[in-house]
Amino acid sequence: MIPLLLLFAIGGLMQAARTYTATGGASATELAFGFLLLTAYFAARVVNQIGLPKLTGYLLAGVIGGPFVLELVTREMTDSLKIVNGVATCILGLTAGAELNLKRVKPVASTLRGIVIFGVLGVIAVLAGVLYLIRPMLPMFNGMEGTGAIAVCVLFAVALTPQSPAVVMAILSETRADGPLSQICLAAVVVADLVVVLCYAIAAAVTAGILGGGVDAVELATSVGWELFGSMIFGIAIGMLVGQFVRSVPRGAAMFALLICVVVAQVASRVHLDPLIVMLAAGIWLENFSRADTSALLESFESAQLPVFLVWFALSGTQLDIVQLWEGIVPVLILAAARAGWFAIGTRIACALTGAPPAVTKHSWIGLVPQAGLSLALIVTIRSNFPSFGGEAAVMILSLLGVNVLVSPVLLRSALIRSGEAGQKHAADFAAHG
Amino acid sequence: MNTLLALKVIGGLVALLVLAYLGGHRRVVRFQERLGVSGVITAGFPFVALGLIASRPSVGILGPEVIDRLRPVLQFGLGWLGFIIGAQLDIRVLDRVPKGTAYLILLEALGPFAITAAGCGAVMVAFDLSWWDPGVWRDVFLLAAAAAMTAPRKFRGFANRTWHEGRGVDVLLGQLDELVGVIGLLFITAYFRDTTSTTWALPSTAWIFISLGLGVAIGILIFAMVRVPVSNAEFLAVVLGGIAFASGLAGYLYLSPIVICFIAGVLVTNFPNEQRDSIFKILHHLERPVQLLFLIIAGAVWKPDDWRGWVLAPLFVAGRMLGKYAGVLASKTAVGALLPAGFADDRQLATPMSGLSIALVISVQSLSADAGLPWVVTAVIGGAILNELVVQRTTRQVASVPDGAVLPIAEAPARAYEPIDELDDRSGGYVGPIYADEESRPVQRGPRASAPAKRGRWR
Repeated sequence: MIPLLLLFAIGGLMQAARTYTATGGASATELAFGFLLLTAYFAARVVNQIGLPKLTGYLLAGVIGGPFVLELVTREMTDSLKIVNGVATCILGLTAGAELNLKRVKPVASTLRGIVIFGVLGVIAVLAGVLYLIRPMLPMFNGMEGTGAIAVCVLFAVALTPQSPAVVMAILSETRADGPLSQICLAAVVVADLVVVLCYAIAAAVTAGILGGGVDAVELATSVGWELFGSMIFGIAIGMLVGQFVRSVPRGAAMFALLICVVVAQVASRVHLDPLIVMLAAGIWLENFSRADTSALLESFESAQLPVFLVWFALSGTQLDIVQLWEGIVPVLILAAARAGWFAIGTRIACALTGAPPAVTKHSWIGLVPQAGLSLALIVTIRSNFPSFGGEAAVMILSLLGVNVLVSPVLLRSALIRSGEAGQKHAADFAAHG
Repeated sequence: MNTLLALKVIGGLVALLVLAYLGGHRRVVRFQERLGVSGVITAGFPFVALGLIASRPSVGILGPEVIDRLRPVLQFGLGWLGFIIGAQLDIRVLDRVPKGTAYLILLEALGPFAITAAGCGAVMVAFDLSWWDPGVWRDVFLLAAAAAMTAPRKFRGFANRTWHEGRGVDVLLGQLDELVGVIGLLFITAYFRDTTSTTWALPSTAWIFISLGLGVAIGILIFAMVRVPVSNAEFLAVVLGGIAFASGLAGYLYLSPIVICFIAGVLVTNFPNEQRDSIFKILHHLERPVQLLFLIIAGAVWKPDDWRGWVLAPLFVAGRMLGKYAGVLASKTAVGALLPAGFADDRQLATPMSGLSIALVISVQSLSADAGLPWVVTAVIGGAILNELVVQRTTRQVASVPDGAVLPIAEAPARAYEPIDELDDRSGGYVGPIYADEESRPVQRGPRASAPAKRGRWR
C-alpha cells in the first residue's frame, strides 16, 4: 500500500512541476532521472506483491510515466538520459562477463554451440521466411521485390533476433538462481548477442550493397573484424587495467571500474567498438585469467549498479508506444510467436543432440526470448543506415521488443522457480532483498 | 563534435574524475592536513583550479557543450549539499546551546552581511551598474549571504559534521551560521526570478511559501520512502533518487536545490526514525566524489577574466572581517551577560568560509545570468582563498603565543572538550576551544579543564 501511495505522490509532484514550464534545461534531465529511479523502484515493489518480477515493474514505470501514456517524462528528457543507457550496458557487460566462469561453462559448451546454431541462426532463417510471407501486411515492403526484398527480410530478421543479457541477469539476481539452466541461459544470451552483432554487420553491408549497388568485401571484413576483435582486445586491456588497480589499490576499485564504464560508454561507439563486447571481455578476463580477487569489486559494484539499472529499464519502457503497438499488433504477434516458437524448437533440438539436463532442455529457450539493449541499439543503427525503410522497421522492432520485454520476465522467473534453481545462490545481488 | 575532440573531452573528464577520486583518498587528505590546508576552500581549490584550466578554450576539455551535459551533476551536487547540511541540523541540540548564543550568531552573521553588502554594493555601482537594476540587488544580497557564513577551522567533509556530545562547539555554530545563507538564498530565489518562459503567475512572496511547502513535501516523501528499502543497494537507490528528484524539481521551478533539499534534510532526520544512521552512511559514502566533482564543475563555470571581480575579492574579505568584529562587539554589548564567561572573547576575527558560500553563488548563477554575477563568483572564490590565507596566518600567530593559546589544529594536544550541554553548569570560564579539532575527545577534568581561558582576540 505504501509503495502505491508513494507512486501517486511522486507522480503528482512531477505532474505539478511539468505544468510550470515546457523546458527545464539541465534540471529536466535530473528530474527525469530521479523520477524514473523512484517510480521504477516503487512500481517494482507493487508488482512484486502480486507475484510478478520486479523487472516488469521497472518497465511499467517507464511505459506509464513515459511520453506515450502520461507524458510525465518527455522525449527530450529521455534523450538527455542516453548516457545512462551506455553506462548500464557497460556495467551489465562487466558483471555478465564476470559471471561467466569458463570452467563451469566448459561442460555445457556443446549445448551452447548447439543453441547458437539451431536456436539463434535458425531463428534468423525462420523470421526471414515469415517476414517474406507477411510482407503484404508491412508497408515498409511496398514497391520492394526480388533480391532487395529478401535482403531486407534477412536484415530485419537479424535485427529482431537479439537477446537481452540485462533481463536475464536481472531475473537471475532477483530470484538468486544458480545451476545448469541459469548458467546456460546467461552464457547463451551473451554468445548469441555476439553472433547477432556479427550477423548484423554482414547483413547490413550486403543489404546496403544490394539496395545501393555493390558490396566492398574487404571493407566489410575490416569493419566487422575491428568491431568484434578490436572490442575483445580493448576489453582484455581494460580487464588487465582493472585487475591491476584492484591488486595495487584495494579501496575504491568499484569507483574506478564505474569510471571505466562511463568512459567506455562514451568512447567505444565513437571508435566503432561495441561497448557490450568490450566490457564482457573485461569481465571474462577478470573472472577467469586475472590474479586479482575481484569478488569485493563486484560486490560493491552490485550496490552501485541498482540505480543505473532501474533508470535503464524504465527508460526502455518509455520507448514503448502503446498506440503504435496496438495498430501493428497482428504482424507483431505473428513475429513474436514465430521467434519464441523457433527458440523452443531449436533449443530442444540442440539439447537433445548434446544430452543436456531435462531442465535445460525444457526451459532454456525462455532465456533467449527477452529483448532490450542490443535491439534498442540496432533500432538507432537501422534508422540511420536505411532511412527508406528504417523508420518503419524501428517501430516494428520496438513493438516486438515491447511484447517480449513485458512477457518474458514473467516466463523466465516462472521457469527458474519450476526448475528448482531459484534461491540456490547465496550471495546478495543487486535486485535481491535483504 | 569530431572523434578526436570527443576523445579529448572524454579523456580529460576521466583524468578529472580520477583526480577527484584521488583527491579524496585518505593519504592525500592526510598530506593536505600536514601542509595545513584543511579548510574546505583550500582543500578543494586544486579542483576548482582544475575545472578552470580544463574549461579554457586552449585546453578545450570542459567546453560549453560538455559543461551543459554536466549541469545535472552540478544540480545534484547542490541538492546533495543542501540535504546533508539540513540533515545535520539536529533541532534538539539547539536547546542545549548556551543562552544568548542565538543572538551572538545572528549579530555575527548580520555584521558581515551588512558591511559586505554596503561595501561591495557601492563598488559595484561604481563599476557602472545601476541601483535600479534588481539584478544588482540580488548580487549584493548574494555576496552578503556568502560572507555571513563560517566553517569549522578543520574541515573533514560535510557528512562528518553532525554535532554530538564532546564535539567542538564551532561545528554547531558553523551549522547555525549556514542557516543565514540558506534563508538568504530562499529570499533571492523568491524575489529575483526569471519568469519569461513560465506559466504560473504568482507574486514573489508566494514563492517563499512554495519553496517551504515543496521542501516539506519532499521531506515527508523521502521520510516515507527510506522506510521501504530492505537492502543497502535499495537504500542507496532511494536516497540517490530522492535527492535527484528533489533537486531536479527545485531547478525545474527555478528554485534553489540547496534550499529545497535543506528543508527536506532537516525534516528527514528530525522526524523520529531508525534510518538516520543509514542515511548518513550513504551521504558519507558519496561525499568525496560528489563534492570534488562539484568543485571541478564550479571551477569550469567560473569566469575570472574580469578584473572587477578581483577588485571585489579583498573588499569581500575585509568587509567580512570588519563585520565579524562589529557583530561580536554588538553581541557582547547586547547579550554579553547571558553568554558563558569568555565565550564571546574566543570568537575569531578571521574565520574560514563555509563551502556553502561557493555553492550559494554557483546555485544562483545556474538559475540566472547578468553582468554582475561573474564578478560575484570571482569575489567569493577569490575571497575564499584570500580569507584562508589570512586564517592560516592568524592561526600560526596565535599558535606561537605560549600558555594555552589556540594551537594549529594538527598540533593541538588532546585538550579539554566540554560537551556543550555542560557549559551552563560550569562555574569557571569557558575553556572548550571554539576552533579546534572536530574529533570527539574525552572531557578532561581537573585543573587544566577548569583553568581560565587565555586565548582569543576579543579580550
